[in-house]
Amino acid sequence: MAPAKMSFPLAPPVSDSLVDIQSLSKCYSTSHTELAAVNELTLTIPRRQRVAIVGRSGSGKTTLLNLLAGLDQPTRGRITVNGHQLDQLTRSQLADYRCRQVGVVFQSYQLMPQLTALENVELPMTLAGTGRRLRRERALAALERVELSQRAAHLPSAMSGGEQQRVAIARAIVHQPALILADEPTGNLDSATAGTVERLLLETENLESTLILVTHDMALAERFGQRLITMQDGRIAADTTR
Amino acid sequence: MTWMDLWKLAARNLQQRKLRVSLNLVGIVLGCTLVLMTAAGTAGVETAFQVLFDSSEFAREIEVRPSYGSHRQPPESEIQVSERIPPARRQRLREELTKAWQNENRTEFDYRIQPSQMDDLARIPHVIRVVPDFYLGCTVDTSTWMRAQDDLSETAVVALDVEQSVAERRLVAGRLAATESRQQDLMISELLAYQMGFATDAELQQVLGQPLTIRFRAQSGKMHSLNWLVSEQGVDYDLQTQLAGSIDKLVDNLDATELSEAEQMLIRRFAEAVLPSGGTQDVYQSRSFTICGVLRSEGKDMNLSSMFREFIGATDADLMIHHLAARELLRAQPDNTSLYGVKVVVDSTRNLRAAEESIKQLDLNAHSALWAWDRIEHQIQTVGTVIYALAAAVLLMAAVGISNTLFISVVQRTKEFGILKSVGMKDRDVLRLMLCEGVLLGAAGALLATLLSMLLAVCGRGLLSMYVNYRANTDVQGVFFELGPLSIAATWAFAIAVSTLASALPAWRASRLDPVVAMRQE
Ligand SMILES: Nc1ncnc2c1ncn2[C@@H]1O[C@H](COP(=O)(O)OP(=O)(O)O)[C@@H](O)[C@H]1O
Ligand SMILES: [Mg+2]
Repeated sequence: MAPAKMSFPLAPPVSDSLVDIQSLSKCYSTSHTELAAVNELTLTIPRRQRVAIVGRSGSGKTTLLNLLAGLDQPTRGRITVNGHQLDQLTRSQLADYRCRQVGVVFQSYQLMPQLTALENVELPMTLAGTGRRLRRERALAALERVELSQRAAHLPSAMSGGEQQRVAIARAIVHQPALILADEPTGNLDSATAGTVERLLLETENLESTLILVTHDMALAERFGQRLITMQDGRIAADTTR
Repeated sequence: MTWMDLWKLAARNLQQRKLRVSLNLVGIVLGCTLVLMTAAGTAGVETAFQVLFDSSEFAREIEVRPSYGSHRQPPESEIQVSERIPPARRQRLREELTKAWQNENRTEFDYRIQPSQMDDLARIPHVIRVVPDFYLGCTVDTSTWMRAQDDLSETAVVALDVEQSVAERRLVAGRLAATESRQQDLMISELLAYQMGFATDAELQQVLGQPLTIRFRAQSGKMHSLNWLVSEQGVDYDLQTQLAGSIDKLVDNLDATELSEAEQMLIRRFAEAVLPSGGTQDVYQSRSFTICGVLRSEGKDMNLSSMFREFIGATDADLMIHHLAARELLRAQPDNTSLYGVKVVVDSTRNLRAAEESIKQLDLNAHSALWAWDRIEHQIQTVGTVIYALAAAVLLMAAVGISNTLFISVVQRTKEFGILKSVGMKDRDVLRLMLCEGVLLGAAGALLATLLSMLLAVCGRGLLSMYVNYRANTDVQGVFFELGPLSIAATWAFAIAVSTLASALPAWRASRLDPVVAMRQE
């Protein structure tokens, strides 16, 4: 049950950095004005770094994260993740990138309502064509990590918000992606539940992944990151590493 | 993504949206059931009629009539029509002229079938019986064993097709005339037996084996034409004899009258026409038979197969002889037995058309139930086509409905597709997933439609055969509503094709969605 072959060649990493962003812009044009949600942003992130991006609402954090996740196309600039230059990938290769290279945790969980927790966690591997047995094994292990083994057979509708977000975390880490992205993962949760989710996210430390957390909560960002990037109007206002 | 996982996900998606799926299913099931039942019904009715037609002994009969001169072609000069007339009218006029010429050139022979032609008919391939439509007026003599009875004296003999199964059913006592003893065997009617004083079953048994002699005119005497001329006017037989004497006397003494030569000639010619020279008396012959059976009239004992019956010949008469005996009798009496019709029976309805053609080659007219059959078949096909068109319209409407609901459901599921794409589902897989759902929906619909149709077919078959058996007094089991494997397969193919095609457009749209755009949807 070897994982299915990737449909694009793996370029050898050119540098030690996992993420390399060069002069990245994403513009939204409304009827009169043009708004740059991300504006000429340049950033590199090394492997296995834990990064927190903070900024006020509307500063372009989510936009940047979606671009990194390959969910959205930039207006200008270039993103390279783990050797893959995203703008050069076809739609199909981009889909492969999404299910093999990244794991995303969204603010509003984004689970498939008709699938059980286990099947939701399996989904990235199902889409990649991973064999059933291996898929199940890894998904159960991931659920174990988020302390939800006993709820594997439940549908999302039968779970609390915090539990759903934990399933989403399991789904983001199950295929051991190089890059894990989390966009306000505790934004919809009460403080107690948020604490658990935060703890579980922090425990991804021992995974071989780079973790980028986006939040408007300065306190959470400071607890979380080795590196703290502050965004303002689509640009990096501050970048501190501890 | 593997096909296995795709099918599973598709099934899961359908399971999740029960209400919408059920609504789609109703459309497919209704459409497919209608088509299936139409196919089954139409084919069933056609088969039922074919079975009835093939099994009906009447349908294998061909009525043969004289040509009445219609076989004779006029010389071209007689039907020449001016070239200036439009072709269609010219054709009509030529046909009318042909008919007029045939009327004028008809001979006495054109009104009759010659007894020798029965042998020609018997030689046509697939012809198994030739039954003359023959009616011989006669008097009955039973004086050797019973007191003579006046009112029995004037009666008639007809030929009975003893091989027809109706004949067997008409037997009240005794047996039908047998081929080996056909010259002696005679069947009498129940009515004649009653008139002779035999009514109860026991009495009827006494009639069997008794001799019966018939006396019939073998050659017409002098009186025949006069009788034919004046009997209509109510002139009775004694007066006719006197009249004949007077005419004879007048002709003998014409010289003594004051009539001119030409007037005398005219009267001589008239006298010769109504009282031809020759023997004054008719020549009579007798034949003796032995009564072998008593038959009741054909009556109302009809079944559905008799709808193909052509009314050939006299079937009810006091005296009946074997049809082969009738043929022999006719051959022996060529002069005075006119044959106005013949019934020809072929071995199978499949050979009717060919036999009819061969009969026409003999310059005779031929009619069978084929014309009725052709009409029935045409009617069934016409009605079938109309119903098929209606069913197709229903399916088309179902297809539009399905496509509509699928489209709406894609719009409602936009967010779901966004999630699937955000975790790496490819455009191609989204498309395949939707098509899988379409195929599953179509297959489920076809399955339900097949089951429903089978149920309906069983009910329909039961009701229909009950009705038909009651109405037609015949047993046509299991012919109606036959669900052929071909129509079931076609329905499955159609249902799956419709729901897959209906999914195609929304599927393509879904596959093109951008994940961020899709996920923003609530
Ligand atoms: N699809 C869009 N169309 C137009 N403007 C958008 C769109 N998405 C985001 N924006 C704008 O881009 C800016 C950055 O948004 P976002 O990245 O969501 O900020 P954040 O996540 O930091 O709150 C905001 O001003 C927002 O209004
Ligand atoms: Mg945001």
